[in-house]
Amino acid sequence: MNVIEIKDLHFSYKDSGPVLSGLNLTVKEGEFLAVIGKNASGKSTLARLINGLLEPTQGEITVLGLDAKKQENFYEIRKNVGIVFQNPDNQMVASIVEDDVVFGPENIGISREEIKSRLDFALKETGTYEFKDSMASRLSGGQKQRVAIAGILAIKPKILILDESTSMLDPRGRAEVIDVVKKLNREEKMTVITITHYMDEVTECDKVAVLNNGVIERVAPPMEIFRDKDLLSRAGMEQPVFMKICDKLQSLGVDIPDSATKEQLLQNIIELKNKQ
Amino acid sequence: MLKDAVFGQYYPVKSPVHRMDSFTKIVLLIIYIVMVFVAKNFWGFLAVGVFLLVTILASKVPFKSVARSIKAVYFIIAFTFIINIFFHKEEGAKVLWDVWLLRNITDKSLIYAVFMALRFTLLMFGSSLLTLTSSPVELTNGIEVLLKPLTIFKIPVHILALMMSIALRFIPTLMEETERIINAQKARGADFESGNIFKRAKALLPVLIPLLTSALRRAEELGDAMDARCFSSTTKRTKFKKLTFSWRDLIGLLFTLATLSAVILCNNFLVAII
Amino acid sequence: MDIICNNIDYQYNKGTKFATYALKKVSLTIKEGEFFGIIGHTGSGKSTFIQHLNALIPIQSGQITIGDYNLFFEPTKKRESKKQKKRMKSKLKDLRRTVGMVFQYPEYQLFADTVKEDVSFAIKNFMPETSEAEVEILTKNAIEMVGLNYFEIKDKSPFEISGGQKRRVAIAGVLAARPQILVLDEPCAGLDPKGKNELWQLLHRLHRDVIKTIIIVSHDMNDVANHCTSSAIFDHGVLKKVGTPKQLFSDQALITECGLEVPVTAYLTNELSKNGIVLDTDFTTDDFCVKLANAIKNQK
Repeated sequence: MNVIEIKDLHFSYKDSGPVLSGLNLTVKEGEFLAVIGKNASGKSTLARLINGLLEPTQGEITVLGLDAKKQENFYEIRKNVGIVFQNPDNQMVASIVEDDVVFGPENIGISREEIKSRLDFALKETGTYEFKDSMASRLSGGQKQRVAIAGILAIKPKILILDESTSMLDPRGRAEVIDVVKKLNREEKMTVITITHYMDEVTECDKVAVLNNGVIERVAPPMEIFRDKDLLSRAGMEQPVFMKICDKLQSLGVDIPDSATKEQLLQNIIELKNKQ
Repeated sequence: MLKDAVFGQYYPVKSPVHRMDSFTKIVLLIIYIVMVFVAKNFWGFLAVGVFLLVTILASKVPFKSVARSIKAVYFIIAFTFIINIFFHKEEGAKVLWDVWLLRNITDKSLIYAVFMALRFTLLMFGSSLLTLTSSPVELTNGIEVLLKPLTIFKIPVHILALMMSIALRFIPTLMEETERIINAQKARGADFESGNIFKRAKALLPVLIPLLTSALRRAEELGDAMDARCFSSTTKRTKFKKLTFSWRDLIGLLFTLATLSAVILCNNFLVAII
Repeated sequence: MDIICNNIDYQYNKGTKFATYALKKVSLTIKEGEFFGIIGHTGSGKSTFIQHLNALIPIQSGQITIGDYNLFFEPTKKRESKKQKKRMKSKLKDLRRTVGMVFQYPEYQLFADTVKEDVSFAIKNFMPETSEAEVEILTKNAIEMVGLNYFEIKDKSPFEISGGQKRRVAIAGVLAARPQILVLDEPCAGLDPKGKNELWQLLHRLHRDVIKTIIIVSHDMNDVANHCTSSAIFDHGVLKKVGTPKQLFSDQALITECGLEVPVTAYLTNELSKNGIVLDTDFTTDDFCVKLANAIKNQK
């Protein structure tokens, strides 16, 4: 089933040129999709259009069968599409972790008992239970973003969008966030859209969509995208490091197959050595 | 660091005082303030002091943190002390010193000055204990309950409370940011300490403009994040943390009322007996 | 000019119950001409350390020598003559002019009405005697140094230009005072791959032409392996090791212990050596690939 269908989407901010110009994209239920593209390519705009924070100038967006252009659908859509934003400091409303996580559930008016059980679930799922009583300002970036994810989970959305949520984190924080999201996708069957320009993060996605010049230029499994060097350079992206190494070795005449991770690359090199 | 300088910041430990209902604590603070003003002599202050001591011990907040609260106002305390010592006049006072600068200082004015300074100090200690033992969110919840009657006049109390809690939440973030911008401009040779007042005010622009820009950007992003989390000012919200009156609050209330009675007792009878 | 740090200690909230060590007995020498990397995960003390280099953080104990400047702990004297104060201040200004500091997300410190005015801020602060014409020349040079077109951008508001341009303008704002040493805290944070590559090229160009020593703070080990001549790794305020990327990243255990990941090339080299393929590489991607390709071919 398609949970998101976008057809011929156009968008421009007031007094400036078009950001999106005829974008098409479909997202299937349970899919782990990465959207990549350079800064200011309209990636974040796309996320905001999907849950009605922005209004398209033209085109169709359907989220879970609801028209995302109609104001009466916003509430229902936002209950089902959670967004984790870029700056961990700008999305927390409360000083204490627990108080922040319950903000969403409080907004949708569910019972106190239900909030309690969702709170526990969300904190445990994101590994933030141990600091539920801590001050948010004392947490690390990765911990803050996991709290932000918990705040979204507590609303129980079907779709989770990460809008460059890892771009302000250090490598450890990035790994923490990615691990949580992968688990949600695998175990809770949550549909995940991650908007990023860290190529290392997209290797394990089901599909990668490349956004360039206001349209999705290509949607394909990560390996195929990594192979498409022209597209990557056109879109201001580059191959992940292990892929660069793989490429370079091939160009130096080493007969090594493409690898999807650095661990696989290692295996391939060892096998090549053993063959000889 | 700058962010630690904020007056009376929350001291996150677990204690019976921390677990008391914030609304009760606010009410108790009001009673406390009343008794500090009601006390007419040092015996009354002794009772208040004992009350304060017991509460601080029960709250597990170190004395140092409580004491820090007067750092921000020691100037005012010193000022009232000096004013009183020089200008307080009473019948039958014995002049202690009357030389050079120390003119007309009497035993009564000295005692009165100490009394007033002590009163101020006790007030500060008590109020800081409230902010040290209640998180900003608890406080706003308490204030929200306190202001609830205003909803009759169509004042959106819960939105006001939310605004307060967000403001509190952003204090440490903006403090950190201010520090960073100041450092960045210092690294570009900015000098905030030289020149007259106009020059200094002008020197602050390179800090204020980026700070304001950033605050606006943060506000915009926060607005989006709140919308995305289904916030709406019109729909009915659940309140997760309900204020509940527990045995702790009862003990607190009884203890406070007992102290208040002691103070009144000191005022009216004790002095007569001694 | 070399930077010589001797036994630097630093505590936050010194003298209180919350006192925590941010730096412990750090001794480090950074030679003139290096492209020096400072690595460590968040909270390792690396940011505190670099802020010592231009006295944004006063020294609590230890000593730093940068050329003619000597920084050490000075108890604040109550009675300092005006002359003394003035001398201290001008010395401090000299130091800050010599050691340029680019903070993380430097674009957030832009404030002026025009790009030109913002970039000239440091010139006017450090060299108030400079004539308008001279200021203009220095500003123009700085803006061109970062690869922007002076006449196109000088009158624009720094809040209107693109994100990548903002960062360049902010860097130009530090370069304008002609520092000899440039310190950058996470200069690539938040940039996309293209922006990142361009910035690295810019930094190498600056290192070649105008800046003697560049010091960068980074947590991307792949970048450090490919760009730095030498680096220092910090963990919990302690300087763990100093050396070339080759020396540092061969010690995979140390890097992991400090909460970081070695670059992909080092990971592969270390694993391959367990499998009988020993490579003598400096861990740059190019060198690694060439050495590995040779090793495989020679086996045949």
